[in-house]
Amino acid sequence: MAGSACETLRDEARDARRDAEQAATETKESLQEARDDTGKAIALCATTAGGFAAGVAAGLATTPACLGGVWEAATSWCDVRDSGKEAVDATAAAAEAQQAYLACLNDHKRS
Amino acid sequence: MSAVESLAVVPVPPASEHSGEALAGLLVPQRQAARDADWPTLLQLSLNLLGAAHGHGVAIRAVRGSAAVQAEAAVEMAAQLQDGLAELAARDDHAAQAQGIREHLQGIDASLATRAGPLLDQVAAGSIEPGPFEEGRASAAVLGQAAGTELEAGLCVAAAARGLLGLVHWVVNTADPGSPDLSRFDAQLEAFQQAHAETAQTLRAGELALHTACADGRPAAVEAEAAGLSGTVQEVVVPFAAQQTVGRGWVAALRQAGRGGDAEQIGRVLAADALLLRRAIADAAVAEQLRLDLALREQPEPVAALLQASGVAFDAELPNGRDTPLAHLGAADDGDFVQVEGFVVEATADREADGKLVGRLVVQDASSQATAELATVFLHPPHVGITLGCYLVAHGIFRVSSARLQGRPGVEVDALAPAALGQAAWQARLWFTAGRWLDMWRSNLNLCWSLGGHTAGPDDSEEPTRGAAELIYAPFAR
Repeated sequence: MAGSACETLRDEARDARRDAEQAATETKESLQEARDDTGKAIALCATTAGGFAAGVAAGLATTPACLGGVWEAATSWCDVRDSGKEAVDATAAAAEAQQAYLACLNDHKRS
Repeated sequence: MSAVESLAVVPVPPASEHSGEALAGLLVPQRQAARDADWPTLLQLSLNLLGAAHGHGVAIRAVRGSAAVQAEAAVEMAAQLQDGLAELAARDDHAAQAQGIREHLQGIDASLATRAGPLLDQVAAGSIEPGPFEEGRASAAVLGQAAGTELEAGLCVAAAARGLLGLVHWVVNTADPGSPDLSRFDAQLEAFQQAHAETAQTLRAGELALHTACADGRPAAVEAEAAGLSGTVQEVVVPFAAQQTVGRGWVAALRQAGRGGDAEQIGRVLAADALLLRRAIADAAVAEQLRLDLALREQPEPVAALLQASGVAFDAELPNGRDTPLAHLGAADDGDFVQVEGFVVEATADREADGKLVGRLVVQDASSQATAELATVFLHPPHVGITLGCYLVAHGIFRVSSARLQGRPGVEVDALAPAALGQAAWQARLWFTAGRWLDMWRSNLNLCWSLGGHTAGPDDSEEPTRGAAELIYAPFAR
């Protein structure tokens, strides 16, 4: 459908997009896990003390299981934050490649 | 039930990595069909584009919607976590609490204690720095924009707009113009005017409903009204374009019969009709864009500006020059903002010494035979579909000696100001938002022209005989 330059750009855009999707998917999965862990921990604290902050405080004194869950979740969130940076970088690269591909498609002389 | 517990786990549907390529695979041959004046193929591909736009739109909304839900949940979690830790750090015994937690975690899992170290250090210091959480929010916000869907979304809207535009030109070039009974001129003119008014009212009603939904800040209503407006346009476009083909037959017959004044009256309606068709397609394009972008966690400009409709006036008012018959244009009008109109008898383009593209049009008054030259900066008339014999209405400044016309007298067509018009009225904001896919006013120039037929031609053809030129020369998306 298009000249070799356009096809090369298409392939580059496809690869960049695949990388971005993979990084985003991995980060989203981490987010999902962190969200579930944090949710459970917060919910447990909420049932004992009626709120996260109060729950944490109450958990410090009375509920070791809650304590461990909260901190696990907190550290999971930090991990997700760090892995998200990779997704952001890959997404930016994909956007650049896709714009180049779109520009190529828009060039009627190449088709 | 807490907000956390009520969060639904939304599965992420697989995104097709070929979506963009599939849409491009229809857009490129559609452009070729227009170039070749291959009407059966143009019809087929235009319909395919409308169908593909719908199907890919569903998939893109699903992907974007699930990503947005996940990211929103993550951001909410981060906020709750930060608040809880900050409150903990504010306790009088925060240092002891942090130490207790550290020892406790060490007993549970040494690696966990190590990973939690920086956060515990902050609690022990009596404060929680928001920085790491802000970074986390930024990451989630990006993920909530559904990485990798921009190209597909842009081409999806392009497919919808191009599908409609393709249908218009298929109709214009294949519909039967009929056999005008010139003795029924008055009734037919009234019918054309009535059809224009009804179509304008239909579009305005759809635009107004969308404006109201945006002003009320109800995303579900915005989505519903956008879908409604898009559907309305799909219903309106074909019969309205067919009506204009009939009108073109009337104009030709009237001119052949020497009834130039009557031909002008219908031509004036047809020029307004063609602008109304552009408005319909612009409306549909923006409606589709809104539907896709509403699924994102954060709406990009200018969609965000459209959603901020509260307190913004609805009806747009465009600059309108003083209606001046071509035969009356003269030195007394020098520097005046005028409206001129007539049948196009010449349409060319040239570049000035600095490389600036300037189009040149000559229009003729069919009753007085008077002519006027028009200059169109940054607009190539044959490449936007202005054809010989079409009726053109323009607003601009009359110059006795125009620099744009090598010192000859003529009208420099005025450029509209999208930012100012969009600031004043939501309707203009809507129309100019469509510019990424279809400019209602090409190069923002305040002019409109009736639809003309299309002939096949090579790349970069300069012939003003190609009414569907926009399908060939305009980019799919900007």
